[in-house]
Amino acid sequence: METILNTAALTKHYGPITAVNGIDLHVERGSVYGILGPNGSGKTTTLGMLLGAIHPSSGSFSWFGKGTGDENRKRIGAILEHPIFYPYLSGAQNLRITARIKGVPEKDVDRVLQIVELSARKNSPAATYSLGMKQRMAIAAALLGDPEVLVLDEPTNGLDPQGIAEIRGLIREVAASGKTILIASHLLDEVEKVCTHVAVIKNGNLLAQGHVNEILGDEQLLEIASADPAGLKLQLEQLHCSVRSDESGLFLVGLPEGMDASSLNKKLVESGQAIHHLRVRKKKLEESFLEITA
Amino acid sequence: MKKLLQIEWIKLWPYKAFRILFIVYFLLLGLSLLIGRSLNNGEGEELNKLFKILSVPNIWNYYLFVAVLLNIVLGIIVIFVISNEYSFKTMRQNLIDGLNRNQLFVSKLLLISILTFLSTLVVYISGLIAGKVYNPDATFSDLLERNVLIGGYAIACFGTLSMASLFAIILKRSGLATIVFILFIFPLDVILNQGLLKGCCNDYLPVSVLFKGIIEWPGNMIRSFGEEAQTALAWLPVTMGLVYIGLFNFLSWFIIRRRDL
Repeated sequence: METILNTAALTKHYGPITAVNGIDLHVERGSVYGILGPNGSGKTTTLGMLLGAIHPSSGSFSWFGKGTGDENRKRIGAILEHPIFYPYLSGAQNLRITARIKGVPEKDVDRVLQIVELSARKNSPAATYSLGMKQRMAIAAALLGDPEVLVLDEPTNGLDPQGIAEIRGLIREVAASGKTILIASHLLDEVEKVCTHVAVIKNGNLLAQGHVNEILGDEQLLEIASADPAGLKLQLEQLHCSVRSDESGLFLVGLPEGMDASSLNKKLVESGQAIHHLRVRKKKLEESFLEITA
Repeated sequence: MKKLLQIEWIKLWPYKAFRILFIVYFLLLGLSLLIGRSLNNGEGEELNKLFKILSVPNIWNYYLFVAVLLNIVLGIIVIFVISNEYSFKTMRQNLIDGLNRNQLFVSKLLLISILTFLSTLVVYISGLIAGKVYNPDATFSDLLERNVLIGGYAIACFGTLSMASLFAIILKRSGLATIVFILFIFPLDVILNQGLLKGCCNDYLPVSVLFKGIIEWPGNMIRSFGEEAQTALAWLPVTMGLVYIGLFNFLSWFIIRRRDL
């Protein structure tokens, strides 16, 4: 697999505050790579450094194995923080400016407008667009010149459910065409639905990164309840199960190696614990996330 | 370079505030010549005969003095255009889309260079026309006398726009940068000059150099009833003007290079 982006101990200090603390990312061609973290965790600062807008305090990064050169950015389509336009210019005029900067022929403007279905409004001033239209227009700008990599910062932020579905559909379409996409998001659901890989960051620290399934975990979790919660808990612990949470007598339980739901059930019944609720649950990203960031 | 120019053009020409300010600037320039025209009638004619403001070549001293003051309007245009790039965050987007920081600086330098060129051209041509209209007997070589001063005007204009550009880049907000720019030109320079420095550095401070050093105020011309006026550029203010142009632009470049966007 070809490496598209590598960072090494990428760090940004703002005075005494460390916004990004020694992050090592590794993004391979064709992946949809989610940077997941709560608001203020350093996602935008990280992307800002990767896109040349913010000077790193220390550490390094390299796009396409070619370092930090300004030319690299012409192969990347990016939105940082929120869609940015000259508000008094029309969408098409704004895209023409981006096309000039990227050295892309102007006729490409019509192609990307069609992809995001904004051809009909291309001559209205950008200031008159709804937030959803602005997001789509920003994605259009990012798609100009058919770049190898898309960098999207919170692409569905502030959108209504329909807008969110549209943008995600658009991202999936682009991903299907083989592009590498880097998405920063605070929405677990978004990363889970769209990404192939994920890096979890919190307070500027990289907590985990890898394939979504690895981070998600194949581990099975069981919901178990019985009439005697205290006895059940004791019994579970004796069987080396890890009790994750206890919601009014409903335990969320991780199983030890070699044990599955039915063998656990059998053992519990043998030990005199009659359970009245047993449900197999795949560990959700949300739980992994809370675990990782705890 | 051509690409940067085209990009600036696509950005600016459709911008209404830019066009309006530009038109206001040219109207004010024209108005200053029309005020001159009112001096040409009745009592005004007597006054003009007395002080020879509109006679060739004195008209250059009067007109360039006004034009230098109106560079403040051009400076405000520059402040609006550049600080917009910060408040819209488009400068950052331009960088993300592939321009490098040097190109961001050069595109602003091109902007002030072109404004300087345009305004110098307009001032020169309108000065020649007004000179001929008010002095029908003047020959072409009469009109061209003292036209070395137009070079001084170009330096003063470029210097003022470089200063405006620097303020916009430092302060990022158009309102704030405009106020600081105007305060710096009027009271602050006087306070600094007369108050703190006791007038010792008149010839060296930027506002003195750019607004009355390179192109001198025509006070002398009025007092001497049009007999004495600036006929050539003095080396000290011209040198200082060029030094400030270098300094302001170096600082602008340095800030654009170093500051996070």
